[in-house]
Amino acid sequence: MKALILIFIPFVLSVTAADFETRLLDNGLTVIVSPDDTSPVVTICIAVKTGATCETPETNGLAHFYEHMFFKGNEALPDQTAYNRRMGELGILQNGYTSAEKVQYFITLGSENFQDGLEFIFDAITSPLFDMEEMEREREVIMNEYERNTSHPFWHLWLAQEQVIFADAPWRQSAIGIPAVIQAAAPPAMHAFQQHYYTPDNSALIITGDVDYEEAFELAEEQFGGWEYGGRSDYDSLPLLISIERDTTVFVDSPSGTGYVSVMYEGPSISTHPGDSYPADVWGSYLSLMSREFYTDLVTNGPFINIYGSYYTQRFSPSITFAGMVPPDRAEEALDLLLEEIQQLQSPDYYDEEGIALAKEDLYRHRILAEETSRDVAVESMPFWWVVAGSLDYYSTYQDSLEAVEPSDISEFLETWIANKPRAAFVLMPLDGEENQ
Amino acid sequence: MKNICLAIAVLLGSLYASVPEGVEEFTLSNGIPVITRTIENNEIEGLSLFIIGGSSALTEETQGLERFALECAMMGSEAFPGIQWRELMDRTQAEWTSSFNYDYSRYHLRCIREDLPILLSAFGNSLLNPELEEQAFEQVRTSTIQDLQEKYNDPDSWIWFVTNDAFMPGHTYRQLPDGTVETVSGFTIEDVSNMLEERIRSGNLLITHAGPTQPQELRSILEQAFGDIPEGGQEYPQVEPFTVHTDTIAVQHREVPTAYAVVKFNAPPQGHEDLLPFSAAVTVVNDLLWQVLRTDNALTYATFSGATNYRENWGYMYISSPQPVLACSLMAGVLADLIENPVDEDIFRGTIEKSRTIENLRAASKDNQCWMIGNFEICTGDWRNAYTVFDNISELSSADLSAVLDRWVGYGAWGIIADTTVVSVDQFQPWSLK
Repeated sequence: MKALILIFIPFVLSVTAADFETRLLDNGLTVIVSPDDTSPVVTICIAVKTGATCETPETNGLAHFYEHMFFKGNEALPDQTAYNRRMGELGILQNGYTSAEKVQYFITLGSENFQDGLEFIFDAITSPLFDMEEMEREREVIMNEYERNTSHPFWHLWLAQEQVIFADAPWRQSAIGIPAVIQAAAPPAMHAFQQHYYTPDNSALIITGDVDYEEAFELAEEQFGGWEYGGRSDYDSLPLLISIERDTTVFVDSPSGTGYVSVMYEGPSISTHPGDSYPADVWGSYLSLMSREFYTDLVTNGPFINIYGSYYTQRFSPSITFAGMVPPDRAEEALDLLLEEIQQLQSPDYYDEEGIALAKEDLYRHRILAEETSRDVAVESMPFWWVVAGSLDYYSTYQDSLEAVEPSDISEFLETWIANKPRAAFVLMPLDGEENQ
Repeated sequence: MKNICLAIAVLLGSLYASVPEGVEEFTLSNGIPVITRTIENNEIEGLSLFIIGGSSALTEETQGLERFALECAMMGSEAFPGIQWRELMDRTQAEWTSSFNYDYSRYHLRCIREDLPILLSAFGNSLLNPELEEQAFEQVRTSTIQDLQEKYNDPDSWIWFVTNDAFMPGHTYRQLPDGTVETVSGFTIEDVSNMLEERIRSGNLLITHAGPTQPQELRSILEQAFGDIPEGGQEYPQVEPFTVHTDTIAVQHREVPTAYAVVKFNAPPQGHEDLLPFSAAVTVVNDLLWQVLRTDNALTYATFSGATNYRENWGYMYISSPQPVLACSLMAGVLADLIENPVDEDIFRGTIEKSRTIENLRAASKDNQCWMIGNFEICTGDWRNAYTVFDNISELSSADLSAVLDRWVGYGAWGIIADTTVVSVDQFQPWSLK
């Protein structure tokens, strides 16, 4: 056996965000370009500041319905069959996501077809047809997506979380929406969404991959420059959503036998408390260290199969969540232990300086690994940060901001957001006929 | 002589027109083969250790043991006992992913370049000298059982296994690499030790790498990490072909609002000249399912088809739908129709173009590069085959696709999960694929 000695050598990894440049077109469209010639492909993504958070009970599910209609035909491609054929001609892979705070559409294709790809996505984003017959068909597709969600073992847990921590407006967190709204959706509602949110000043065009800056900006301006400015989005003025008024514990039945425990707190909104998000991230990274107390107490020597404690950066529904899988017969014991642990982690003695340095280091490494390919950058990183933080300034200064976090910042974060604050706990386990609480 | 060498080089060059540059092969002192592709676009390293054998190395009683043993080994070793192991993982943020299939187990490491030597040292040490501490052992057992239980609980995961009894009764692949709750519940530390001692042998292993570390440096790192692995290994017999003699259907009742269905059917094995056109054909079927089942009839949110990439293979079609009888009937019809009537050439070309984009996307991911090189080396005997698909696929016509489906598609083994109080079980019958 070879002698192996593990020596801890603290060092700071130099990490910068993916190289990119941003320009603002006259119509308000943000264009972001990040070249990477590793492979002859280009990814084009359009991020829109909308989502379930812009909905009302009467429109819950329409942001998502709209996303589906993006792929169904437009003024250049009259129906989905023509759309599908064009995808084949250009070798396009595509998808779209609707979440609570963001909608995005993206295509990837060979870089030789870049210009055609820009035209393809421009037509789809600016001139969807909302043909009633297509909508009738698509509502059945969306209903199947809804049914698939409800078949998932975690569905009732998700519902309970929405109802408790977003009690004022749970629909603003539910992208899939309500069946009655999906069933009644019609073209006027789609046009209303388009009018409000699908304008260049409420969107970003992100281009990554085998392109160069000048060509990409030039073609983007040529293609998208004529998109009419809107100025009608209320996105930036929407109210905070998350609200936990009192300590609550909800037991959710799991007929299939899944065990899961989570405890949630309100977290700092990146709009109103951006400075708190950095110690929050360092703190969450610290809790992910398997060599430190949180993991050791709860997983190594405790009932959890896995565990995390982290802050989710959002504008309207920022949360601090502790959660993990547990054997269902140990779920209640696990909740008690987790709550005890949360009490302990409010003490400054819970953290050591070496661990905090390590936690920062891990965040740098995480970013490198998360942005391996140009597609990762276009689909995962940039749309999120542009929508949530409002620009890519936060993204590009992130490392420096983390570097500046001191242990006292973490204490202050805990004091502000966790100590003596109400929390909502959820336990997913078989209830054997007991009443849910 | 020089001219002959040149001619051979030109011939090889034309045969392997798409084989990337910067790939080198070497062998460690104990015989472990290594294939490395140097990619210097960033600091991310990918390295896969393949343990060859898969289901062939398992019995009904030991299903899941190789996976379980490897997961236990990755909890700490003599040189890196539990707490030090976890500190190392914390410090490096190394990402370990594992997959266990019918032909091999694969452990993949994704990390930053400067961490590669220490992580591989720890990896090698854990395989050779695992700590196998009792508490960690039970932790892995609990986690594995929970994982298996979750796979069962989610109908979208479990649907892939519902038809196995009908499609592969008595077949080598019937031994599940992930194991079952019953088998995993019974494993002992001694079982784990024995499995590792038997399986961690140079003759059972293959290492693939993609990343910025140069071959010479990599060789040195690997020699230090894995050079002590003993020689030897097992011979694995040819896997027998699947023998489905009739259309079958297995229906599982669950109170779910949408049904899930999968049908499996025969496909060419690795190395067979029909595998490429067959794979192209089921990729076309994938596009046709989207068009017919989703675009035209709105019967589903998710439908797709494909073919496996093992030594013995099957084709499959999948759908979720609240109208499973109609959906399955149409799905079978799409395949049957393609067998009878070649699809428009432009649809076929469109499918190829999209596949080309997928391949180019894969080229940017070190994980994918490691998988492609290793999978093709194990299953076809030559990693270069991973890169030559498009050299050959361009020569195919849409009539070739229909012909190859006609040769291989026979009986179908259907699996369905549905609420049979809503859709009567009497309505389910195995829909013919031809």
